Amino acid sequence: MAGYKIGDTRDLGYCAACGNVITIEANNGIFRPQRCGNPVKLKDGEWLCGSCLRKLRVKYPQDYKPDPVQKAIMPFESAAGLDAAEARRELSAAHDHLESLREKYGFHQAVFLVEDVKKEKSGFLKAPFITVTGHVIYGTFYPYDEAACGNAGYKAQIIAFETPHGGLAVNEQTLRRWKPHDLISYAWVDGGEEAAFVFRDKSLNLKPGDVIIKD
Amino acid sequence: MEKTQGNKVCAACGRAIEESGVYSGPMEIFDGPKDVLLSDGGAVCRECAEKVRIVRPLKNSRMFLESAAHFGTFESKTGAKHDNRGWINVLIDPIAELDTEGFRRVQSEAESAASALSERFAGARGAAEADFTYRRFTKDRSMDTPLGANEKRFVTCVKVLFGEIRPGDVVTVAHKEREYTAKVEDVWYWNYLDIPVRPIEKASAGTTAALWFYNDVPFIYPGDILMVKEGQ
Repeated sequence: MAGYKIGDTRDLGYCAACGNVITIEANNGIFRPQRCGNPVKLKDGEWLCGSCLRKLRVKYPQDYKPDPVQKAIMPFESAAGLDAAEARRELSAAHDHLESLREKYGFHQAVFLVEDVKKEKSGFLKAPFITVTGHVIYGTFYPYDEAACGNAGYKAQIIAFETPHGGLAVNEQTLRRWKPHDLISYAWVDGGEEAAFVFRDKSLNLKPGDVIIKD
Repeated sequence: MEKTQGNKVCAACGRAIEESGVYSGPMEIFDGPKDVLLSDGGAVCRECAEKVRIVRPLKNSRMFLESAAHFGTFESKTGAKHDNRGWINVLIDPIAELDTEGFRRVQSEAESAASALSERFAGARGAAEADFTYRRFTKDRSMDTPLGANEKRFVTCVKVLFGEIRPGDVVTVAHKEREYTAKVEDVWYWNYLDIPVRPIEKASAGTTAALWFYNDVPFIYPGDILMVKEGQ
């Protein structure tokens, strides 16, 4: 704390689109109790606040990639490739883009595109843990949502979220650890975010390219 | 009768400024609208201050402060007790930085902003832009699974753009295929960097608020405009 004086702020500037104050937050995890979301620094050095970024993500999705500096897989925002003028222009068209996506997918509440499926056995005669990684096309998913999976529309329940490409084995122990009340009340993923859903189902058969639909 | 702040009166409407409930620096928790002392010694009452929030909203920031409640205390070598220091989310009122002349300018800015928005939201008593929606499921005062929850709440955090939103209002969200409606059961002040902190009577233009619904609102997406139509 040395070096800071009483009354110092952490303000880095203002959002180039809406004027919100930019204050960096410590982590960008899925489990964010009522937080506003992290800002992103644009190509020209201006900032975009978490609220504006959330609106843009349906067109400029988030991706998890290896970060050579932190030596870990970290979330990257494709909106960071825009400059302030482009971001403002895209924001004014973001709602129309969302509506066109909703129309394309038949006006379902929320749609998720499957990109990777990982199965882990959980014991003799027990249903396997299935971790499905991909992107939310639009809408919001919560743990315990029941969703129609794949072309056949098989209904299955999301039992938890995992950090995409987290590398942790999903098993009884880790699930128990992930089950604080925050997981139920304050966890969600919005349109454009990369996410990993955990299912526990014997009959679920998903493959990359399938969609998960919530109604 | 409420004691007044010296002999100060509101620079805009002439109402007496109360001794208590005057903004006195960065607030950690929003505890209702406050009268504001201006930089030149003038003052404005809370009603007049709320009218200009459309152009001068409370500013959210993270500030380095002393706080025993957050960080505890320590005893120095002399035996004196001090509060520890750290970073806290605070609300700063930008009106306090204005002088009386500046406030009058902001008043006219606010009036023109409100009239421009009343054209944009014709037929609406209030309008807000949705940010995100989260769930709050509780059972017997503790969190539980959705299956066992006996109290299911859906909270949409919004920025009020125009007019005001009160508990009991019905908000309308227009999408390509149809219009959806939902009843706002409760309105809380939402500290943008933090959590919805407390119920408020109404959320007026320029306020960040949390709208509580008793039913799921999956039709509210980030960036959607929630309108309270006249007569609803």
